Amino acid sequence: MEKDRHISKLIRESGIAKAPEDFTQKVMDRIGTESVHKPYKPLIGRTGGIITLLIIAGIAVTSLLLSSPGESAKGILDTWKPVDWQWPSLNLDFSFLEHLNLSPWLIGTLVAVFLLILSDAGLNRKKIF
Amino acid sequence: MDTPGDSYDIQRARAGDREAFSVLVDRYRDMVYTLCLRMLSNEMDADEAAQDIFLKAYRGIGSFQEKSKFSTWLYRIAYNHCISVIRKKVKMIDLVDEVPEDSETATELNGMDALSREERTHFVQRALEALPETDAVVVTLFYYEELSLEEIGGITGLSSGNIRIRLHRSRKKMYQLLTKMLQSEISSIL
Repeated sequence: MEKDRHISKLIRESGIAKAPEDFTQKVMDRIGTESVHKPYKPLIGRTGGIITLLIIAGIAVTSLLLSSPGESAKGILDTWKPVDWQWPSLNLDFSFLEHLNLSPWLIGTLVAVFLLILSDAGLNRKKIF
Repeated sequence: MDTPGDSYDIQRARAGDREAFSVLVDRYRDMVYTLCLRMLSNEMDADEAAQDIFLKAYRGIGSFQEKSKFSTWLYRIAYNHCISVIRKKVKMIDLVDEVPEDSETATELNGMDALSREERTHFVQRALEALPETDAVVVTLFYYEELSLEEIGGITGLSSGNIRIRLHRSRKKMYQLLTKMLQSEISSIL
């Protein structure tokens, strides 16, 4: 008990350390610098990006399912399809793409949103701003 | 140790008044720096960490709810920040481990009274630096900031019982360390 009292007295007596003289100034300088160079915050964010990508995938899948098999693609896919294309020996059937009937506007919008998410994530990672 | 002006300065700092925030920095800089020094045992690291802590506080002041004291909120940031710095650096030497827990020495600490106040302070600081980080924080907050066990628990996440044990253990270890220091000091004089 006596030891405890003695050591407690010594601790209290020793006091706290003093921060360097220019400490406050350094902190305020850093705050000022940070205010000028604010870190890039993603517009959409991770969750938003995932949700948007899921929506895009949903629209694409729904369009696929709703397209009637007999109806050939009248849109830009016809122009994309190579004339003499032969799938390699993988035996994958991509013929369903022929039935995909998306308007060029919709495809353009989906591509634009996809690129926005991609660039947003890229900027956030590189911390350009 | 919240002062009556804290609330007013916090309100202004929230509104973007940097001058008001600098008042808060001035008010708490020594305590935050001391906590960092106790945990990081290095003046340069402590200086940098303390700056980072105030920067974090500035960014987060909008989310500070005045349910707890500003000082408690700030010290919690300080404690967590220092823990993450330590985890990154991995402290290699723990001086306390070199002192056996139950080594009772014949020399009493009465010799400390013969020293000047500066000398005593120097020895106590060295003993504090030798404590494990969390114990050093607990001792600092308890003795210098005079926080209750519950308040210290709110900062460190430890239970009151655990804090009480740490305080007791720290005093014992410091007693042993100071005794050793004093012995070696006396033998160096002789």
